[in-house]
Amino acid sequence: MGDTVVKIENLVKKYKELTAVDHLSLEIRKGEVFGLLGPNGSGKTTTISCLLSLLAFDEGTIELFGKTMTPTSYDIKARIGIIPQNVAVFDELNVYENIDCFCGLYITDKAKRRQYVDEAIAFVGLQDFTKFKPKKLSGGLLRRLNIACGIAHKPELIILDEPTVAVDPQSRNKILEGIEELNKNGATVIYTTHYMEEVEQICSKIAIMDHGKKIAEGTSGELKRMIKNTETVTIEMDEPDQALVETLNRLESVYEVKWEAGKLKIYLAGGEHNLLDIMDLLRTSGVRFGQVTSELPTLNDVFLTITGKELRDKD
Amino acid sequence: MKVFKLFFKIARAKAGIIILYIGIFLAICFPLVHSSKDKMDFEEASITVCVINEDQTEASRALVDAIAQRNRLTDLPNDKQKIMDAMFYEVVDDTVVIKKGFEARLQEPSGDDEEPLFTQYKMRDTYQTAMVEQYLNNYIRFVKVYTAEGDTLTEACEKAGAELAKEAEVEIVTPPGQEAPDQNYTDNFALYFRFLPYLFIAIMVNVLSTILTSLNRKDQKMRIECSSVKMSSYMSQIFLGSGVFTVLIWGIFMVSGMIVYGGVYQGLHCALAVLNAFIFAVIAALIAILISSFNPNGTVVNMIAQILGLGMAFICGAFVPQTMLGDGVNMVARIFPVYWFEKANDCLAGIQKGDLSDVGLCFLAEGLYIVLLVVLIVILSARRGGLVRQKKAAAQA
Ligand SMILES: Nc1ncnc2c1ncn2[C@@H]1O[C@H](COP(=O)(O)OP(=O)(O)O)[C@@H](O)[C@H]1O
Ligand SMILES: [Mg+2]
Repeated sequence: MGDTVVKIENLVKKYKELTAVDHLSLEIRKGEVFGLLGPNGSGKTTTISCLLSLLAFDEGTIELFGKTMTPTSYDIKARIGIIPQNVAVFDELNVYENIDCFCGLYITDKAKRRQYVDEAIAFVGLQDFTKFKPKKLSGGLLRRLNIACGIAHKPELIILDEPTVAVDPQSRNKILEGIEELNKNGATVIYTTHYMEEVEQICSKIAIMDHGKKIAEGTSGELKRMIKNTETVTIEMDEPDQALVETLNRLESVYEVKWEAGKLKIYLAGGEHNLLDIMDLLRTSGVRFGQVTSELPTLNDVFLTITGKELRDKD
Repeated sequence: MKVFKLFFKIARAKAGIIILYIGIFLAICFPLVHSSKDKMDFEEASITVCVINEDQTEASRALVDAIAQRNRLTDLPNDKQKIMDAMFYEVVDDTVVIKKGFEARLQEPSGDDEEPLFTQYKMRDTYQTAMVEQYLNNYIRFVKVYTAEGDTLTEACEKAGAELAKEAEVEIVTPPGQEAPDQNYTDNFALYFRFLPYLFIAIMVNVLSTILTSLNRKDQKMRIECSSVKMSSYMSQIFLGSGVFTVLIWGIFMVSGMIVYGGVYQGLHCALAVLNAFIFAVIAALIAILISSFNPNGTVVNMIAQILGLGMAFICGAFVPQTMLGDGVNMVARIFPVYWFEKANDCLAGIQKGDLSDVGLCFLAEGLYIVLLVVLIVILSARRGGLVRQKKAAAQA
């Protein structure tokens, strides 16, 4: 364990004036599910393309499996499976033929390939659709086919670029579970998305990108601790008097108290018994209150705190 | 050979289109080819001739009889406009006016009279009209020889008619400056071959260029670029696939040509026609490759196939023979490769005047198109490759 699979140092990629990737450094270790989280246009796909030597870049170095990656590093390429952002399959071939064709680019042995293709089909749950042409598949099934084409040859490093865009919840869960299973079977995974719930659910390590820069990196917990508030308690009540607000503020973990539209919001740093302390205080001061809720921060809060804008665009 | 196999897997998905084209074509061609007689024989060499006898002498009447022996005679009033109309509507193929003073001048020694004894009207130069012209010249020559030997005019005319009739039975006399039509490369074969440019272009552009577009689509190509298959090997396998595909389509049409005709190709003219078809299949394939390098979508490809295929076929003489098209059209058509295919084909079948050197010239013109297309394809792909290289150079700087 602990082997570095991907090492990107100071990667810069420019499209004319636009700097799509800006001095990005990443290190991904064997066995990780590495999440690359960022809004649309933040440079995730560009990073992946540079990583695979599909794009020439302006500055920096890229090493895969301890070797410098070049367009002719066929030995390295053989160990990677790629699931591109756009569904890349042949409309003329059916589900089985598509997987077989892409698997065949890596696996020449016929019997072995048949076994691998069957396994990939079972893995993504397309057994009932093997004879279907891609045009006949729904969005979710098509995405699953796209994944099967990338993983059939059992690569050590699997790169998925936004594999769940425009996918129904059922297919999305199936895909996420599948990625976890691939990881359990030993594959290192790079997963790009702009859905924070997904990285929170499956990624062991996350890098947040914006405007081509890495703005934060760590586990989900680490990232959340980076921002000040770790808990927000919301209480339905009438406007509190000044004395109560001051008492609340004196509590050790509380750093901000705000009343807005019939709701009192209390922002707290991480600590134990936060909610209990607040409830005790409210009862002793004799105020009447309605529903009390407590929320833990999300990666969106992390993104919001660092960049001052929401992670998710309107969708 | 993984990509080569992939090429044909995708091609197999398009087999329906190919079969459709071949099926419809053969269904149309079969009755067309069999509606006319099989071989161009003596009977077929005859045409409808109108002889206008202005001389009305014994000798001129003898000549009319002689012409009637080998052609169908018809009557027309001696009016140039009416004659031209009749020929335009193909009521007659050829009109010969025997001028006044024919008998008198026949008896004079030749040499001093340069003025022709006949006026011949024809819409187009065909093998048959040339035969009539040649027949008349030979007839005069023979008559003059016999009279010079002491025969009376009547005797000489009789002998000349008999002599020429004998000759015609042995072989069809080859007019000067023209190859005799190859007995093996008949009008029926030629008719079948005439339509091939349209089919080749339609099939190549519709099928070959969609296969290539599919294989070169950015997303799919990215998967291949990410794999352990070398890009150079990928390209060469695609090239090989295109080549084999072209030979296959050509082969299918050559074989089905024999089936439609019900005979095998024999002789030089057949061989050259088959070669002509192959050259054109290569041109059509190159056109398809050129089109695919612009990554068009399916509807656009089909549109291009129809416009190019039908358009060129129409003005270059695939549907209407070149001899029937106006000089202006034929002039413009020269810029298209189909024109040279059709011209070569017509010459080989003897439908148009022209010998083997004319056929060679057509092949040369078609060869120039091959060179031109290859150069265009190379420039286009080099420009794209060049961009990538520039980017890499910039990256290394
Ligand atoms: N081929 C290209 N030419 C010019 N600009 C590009 C090209 N590809 C991407 N970009 C730009 O680079 C930035 C990063 O894009 P991308 O890597 O696709 O982002 P993401 O995958 O995170 O959505 C965007 O602003 C995008 O408009
Ligand atoms: Mg992207």
